[in-house]
Amino acid sequence: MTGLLFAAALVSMTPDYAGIAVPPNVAPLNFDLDRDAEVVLAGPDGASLAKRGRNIRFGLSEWRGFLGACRGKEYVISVKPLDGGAPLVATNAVSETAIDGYLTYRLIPPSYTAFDEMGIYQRDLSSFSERALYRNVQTSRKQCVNCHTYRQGDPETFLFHKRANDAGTVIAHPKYGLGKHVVQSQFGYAGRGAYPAWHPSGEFIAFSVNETRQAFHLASPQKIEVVDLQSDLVLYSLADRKTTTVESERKVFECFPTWSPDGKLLYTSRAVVDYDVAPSNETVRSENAFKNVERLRYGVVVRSFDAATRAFSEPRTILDPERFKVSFLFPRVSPDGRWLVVTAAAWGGFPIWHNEADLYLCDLATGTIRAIDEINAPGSDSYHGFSSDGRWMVFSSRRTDGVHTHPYITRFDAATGVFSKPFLLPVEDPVAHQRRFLSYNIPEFSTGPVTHSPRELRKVR
Amino acid sequence: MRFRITSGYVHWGAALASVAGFHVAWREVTHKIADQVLVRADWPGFLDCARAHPWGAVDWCARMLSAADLVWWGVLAQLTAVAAVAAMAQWALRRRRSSFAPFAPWLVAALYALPTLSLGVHVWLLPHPPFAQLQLVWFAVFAGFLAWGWRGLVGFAALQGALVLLGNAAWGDLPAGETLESAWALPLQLAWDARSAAALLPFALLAAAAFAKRPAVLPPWAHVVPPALFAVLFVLVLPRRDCRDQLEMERAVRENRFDDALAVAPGKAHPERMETAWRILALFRADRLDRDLFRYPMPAEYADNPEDEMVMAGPLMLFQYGFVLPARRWIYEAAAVKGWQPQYFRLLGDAALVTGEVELARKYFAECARFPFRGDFAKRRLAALETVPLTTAAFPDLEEPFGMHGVWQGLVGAPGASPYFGNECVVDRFVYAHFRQLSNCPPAMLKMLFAVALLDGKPDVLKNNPNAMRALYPDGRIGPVFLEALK
Repeated sequence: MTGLLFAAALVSMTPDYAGIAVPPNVAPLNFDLDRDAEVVLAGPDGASLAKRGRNIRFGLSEWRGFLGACRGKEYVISVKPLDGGAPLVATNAVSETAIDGYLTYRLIPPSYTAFDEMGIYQRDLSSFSERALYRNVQTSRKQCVNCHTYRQGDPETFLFHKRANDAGTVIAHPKYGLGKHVVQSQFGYAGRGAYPAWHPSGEFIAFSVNETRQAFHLASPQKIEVVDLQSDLVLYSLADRKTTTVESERKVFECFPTWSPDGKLLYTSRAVVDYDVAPSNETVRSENAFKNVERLRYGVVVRSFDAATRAFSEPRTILDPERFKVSFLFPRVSPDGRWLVVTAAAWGGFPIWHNEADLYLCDLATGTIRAIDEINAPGSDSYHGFSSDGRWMVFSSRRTDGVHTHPYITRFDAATGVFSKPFLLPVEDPVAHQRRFLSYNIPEFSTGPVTHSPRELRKVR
Repeated sequence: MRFRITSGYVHWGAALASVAGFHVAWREVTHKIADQVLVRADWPGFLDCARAHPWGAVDWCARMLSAADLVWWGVLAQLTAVAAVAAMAQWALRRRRSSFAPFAPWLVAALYALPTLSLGVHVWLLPHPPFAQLQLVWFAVFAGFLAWGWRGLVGFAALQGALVLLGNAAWGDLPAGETLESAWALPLQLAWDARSAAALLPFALLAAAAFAKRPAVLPPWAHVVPPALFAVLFVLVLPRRDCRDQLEMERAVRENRFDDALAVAPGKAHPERMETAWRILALFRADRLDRDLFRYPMPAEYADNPEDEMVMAGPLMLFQYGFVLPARRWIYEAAAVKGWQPQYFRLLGDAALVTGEVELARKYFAECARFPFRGDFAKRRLAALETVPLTTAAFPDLEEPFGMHGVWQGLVGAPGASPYFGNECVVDRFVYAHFRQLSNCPPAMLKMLFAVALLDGKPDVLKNNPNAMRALYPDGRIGPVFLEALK
């Protein structure tokens, strides 16, 4: 009760842009207030911005000038309600280092099975410009597109999948050009290359090959469960367009591959199951998977890789799920190779629909792991990725309403392993996120705009 | 008779080709506009609006114009084709003289408004025969305007333009859409408007050329045919009362007048699917489901196009009996495919309340409040959300879903015991896909599920669950009724 009364007395800022670390090249951090107020941003050497009202928006040029004056320093944001309520005063630190200029995501409704429109979009983080790279309504097929991934943020080297009709993986590469590749399962089931990871050389892509099923809770705090009936690991060579098997044990599920920055190590999430994964009846297969989903826990393993021979070592466990009694998913290594950020859920392999999912940080040098309490919040915190220099991280979160996923950005101190308070991707109208009934799926940084036009991407057959 | 190709025919051919070209080029936009038609489909009738708000009548009129505009968009291809034929006939008849003033178009327009006044705008959007028949009204309107020659065409284009502008002004605050920032909504609308005008332009120009030297004079029957056509359709449609029955039942159920709902057309031999859905809901809410369900006739074609017509009744029934997550899922699927409708936001908001997701509920009610005639309800909900401490007592009308959701949670308890179903199942097959797992659920819930299954054309769920049936009706008295339903 006290908390509620206290919250009612304070002016409320949406999104919360108080007490954060601000990239010097980010778009204006516009916000909405619950009542009229005078807003002053006071930086060093007299730099300031002042606004009045509820819907606080800054012009692009004035914002850039202000951030330029504050670069490497701090500014104080003060919000004084005109009704005489308690003011909000906070200090934001403007970082010296810029953030990668672009963020790519898929926009989809939080639907469960059906979909109509979807697309992959690229947002210029220094402005509010959002560009559609691929929209399924621009073709006659309206197929699902997913899993866009860059090679260490390189906008010229990326891929995404097209599903259903004309299925395949659209790969753009400076050396191999733009084209469609088909990464087939080596294991006789219908799965194709799914979760990808570019080798830093750009010559290989590690894929997990997944045969997934979706199911729905009838009554539960969770809403959806996604499980693999099978999942294996393959390596795709761009030079000869050939796929080689890395892992194909029926009772071993591997997914979410990611490379170390030097390309000598491959990390994956890995689970070993003890139930019958291959009954003849398809329905029984699904039922077995869902009946056992609460016991399905993934750990993180690592293999060494020899690019010359394309040989992998045996997997070595980094994070043991039985020890921690959680499922570790989406491992991502910082560009300096020291830190591993992973999503931990109570069970299963699809944490975005797990309210309890949080982000954890593992120090690969010492083997210690901790929950990243400074950025976690109620609601699923899941997919994440570092910027190309490792100073920033973006992650998906459902903290706003529990259903729609939004990208949050945080600064990472690689020396101490500490993150700053995260902030929501800024938009021109600060209430736009509330009125956009879409999820931002798989946020990925890139250092520049994709060099291929949407038309070129659409024409890939 | 010798046939000569004249410049007039060439112009008409070019005009039709240009119109067809526009339609092909804009088919993606047409798809989204069709979604918007559905968004705007949930409007009450004129009298309800007038009673609900002092300005309700004015607002209703604005939306009425907007709806006319949307109907125009939705059937533009058919309209232009038929109108072209009508215009050519007029052109051929241009030497004939008329004996009375061209009042016919206005008569047609007035007749068009009557069913809308009495039944609500969405009478035009119901997917059954009267809807298709009444679309022909616009053909008649167009043809009627053509009786004035090029002036009529220009006037018709101006009328359409006014409808577009009024409609956009009345509905400018709709959700921006899936992928378009709100800033793009207006340019898209303007582009569409320009396209509509462009589609009409060839007709206006050609008609102007055709009538420039000789005044448009028509025989008396050319004025009489359009309204006569409409009058025949009107007579054919209204006595069926399908639309009126559905709307009356819906209104009665929403106002908890269950006996009134059940009194609507109880003896109809072939009820519409929506009528049956509302009847089942009324029986359930009146606690008469097991006693009276099969005393009413069921639709003959159970499985016809269920998702279109059941888009709200299905989730609403599930929700009211505590199947909150399935109801919510159904709405999400429908919204993804059909676009958002205000009643989706309402039900999603209520579902979020029942599941305790207050912020999510606030988000949906805030959006719901932007829709005309939903504002009062949404504002009441938003105000109730500010209650401190927030308890279920703030939402007395949701007592039943709150209670049943809790019962259901208690029954299956831990998430691991929750039944699932795979993505191979169609959405509305959810319920009976898990009948075998429902042996522990309350008897009333089983009855509801059986009713839903029967409505969905799956009587086998009764045959396949003899134990559940025996548990429901241990004395066997109800057996013959079920057997009758299974015939």
